[in-house]
Amino acid sequence: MSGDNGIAAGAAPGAATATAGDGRSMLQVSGLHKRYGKLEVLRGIDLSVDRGGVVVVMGPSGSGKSTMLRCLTFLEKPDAGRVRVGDVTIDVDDHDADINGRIRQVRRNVGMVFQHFNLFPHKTAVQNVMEGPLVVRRMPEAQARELAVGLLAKVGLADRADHYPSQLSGGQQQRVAIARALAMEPQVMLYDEPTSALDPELVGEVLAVMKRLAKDGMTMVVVTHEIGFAQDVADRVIFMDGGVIVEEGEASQLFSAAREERTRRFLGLIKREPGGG
Amino acid sequence: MSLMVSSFSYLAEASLMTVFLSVVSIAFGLVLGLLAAVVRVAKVPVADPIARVYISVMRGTPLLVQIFIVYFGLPQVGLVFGPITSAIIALSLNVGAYLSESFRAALESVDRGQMDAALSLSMTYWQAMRRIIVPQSFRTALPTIGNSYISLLKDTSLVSVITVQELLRAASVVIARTYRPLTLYVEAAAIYWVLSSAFSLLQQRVERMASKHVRR
Repeated sequence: MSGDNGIAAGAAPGAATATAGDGRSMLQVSGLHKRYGKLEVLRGIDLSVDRGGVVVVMGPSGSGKSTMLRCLTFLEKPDAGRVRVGDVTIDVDDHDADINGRIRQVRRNVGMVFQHFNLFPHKTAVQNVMEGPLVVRRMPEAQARELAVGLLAKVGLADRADHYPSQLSGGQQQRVAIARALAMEPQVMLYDEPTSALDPELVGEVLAVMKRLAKDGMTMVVVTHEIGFAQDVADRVIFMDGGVIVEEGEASQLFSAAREERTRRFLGLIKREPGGG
Repeated sequence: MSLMVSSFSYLAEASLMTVFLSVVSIAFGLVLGLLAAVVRVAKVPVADPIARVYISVMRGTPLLVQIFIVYFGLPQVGLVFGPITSAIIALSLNVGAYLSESFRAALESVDRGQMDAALSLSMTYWQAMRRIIVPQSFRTALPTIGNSYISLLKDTSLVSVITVQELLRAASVVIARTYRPLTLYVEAAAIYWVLSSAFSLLQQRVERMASKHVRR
């Protein structure tokens, strides 16, 4: 396997935007490694996302996409590498007293949306959205509620505020989850296959909310196989395989004329899926 | 039959002590059990092995022996407790160990994504535990908590041997006077049964209420 060469080659076209400390990028990842026992899941990921940029990450299952997202906020602890979000930098090798404080700072600045929504089932929609502002931002209850109601309206669920997750459809739950993440006023939003657990007819409403956020200038990294979304919204599409970034480029370029055989083969497969277009 | 009637108010009064012992002990036991469970799930250094030994000892020795150690044993090292206090100490420690195992299973059954979501909101581990994980585990643990309470209610009869004036001891007192063990023990049994049945009904209500919004 030419894994490590793969990154170098793949990252080269984006090198201009990927230089460290260029002052423009909102999210910067370098040299991210992660292994589970003998299995190397991430073998050196370098990634930079500009302020307001939307990056779509694709790749076969097991390619490390989800692990990469989870490593960005240290839900999984990477084995090596460095992550910067806005002004906060965490190096895995940091052992200072405040490393946990910085991890929480990064989490505060990064909103995460999960494949299975992970809403709190014992709380209503509005309580789910209020939870972060109340507990972490220490916002007064009335203010948190106002914020939460506003965000629910933004994702089209003003009339569902007092419903429990079990009373909502998958698409509605995912939109509540997006509102919950937004309530922390993040600088970056990460989406881990946000529509893969949804019935096909519910995918559109979630993608529509995400598109609107992107248009409003939110910086986003989206792991998804929704080619249509990538074409409409992504500034850049990244193809991952075997724990490395194999290739990256503009959606139109990647989908019509990928350089790497692996990328072409994978895209050929997902284009044939009914839900893939 | 007339003896049953004439002794009823005496036994009923003593059964208040039974209820008191069980309610106070389950309250302490819940706190203790939750604490021990959280400490184990979070693998808190030092506290985790202590909790482990506590649970193992309490579950691996007879409750009667535990009662004797608290009431007859501890005075030897200068710790003297009255019968009721001793009873509550022994019963709480005992039921706490069983409850901690229920809580631990319940805590571990909460979907991992819940902790992920809470941490992603930048909560600390303990905030996530308190606000998200523990409340959900209560719901899962509710049926086993109920079962533990019913066991405890009956186990309070053991403290009659350290002279606590509860239901069984009251029955024994009347038997000593009347030599009618069958009547009195059946009467005591009936009262235990009514108490636990009443509690079972209450438990079903609470469980229905608690699971109203959760479909899993």
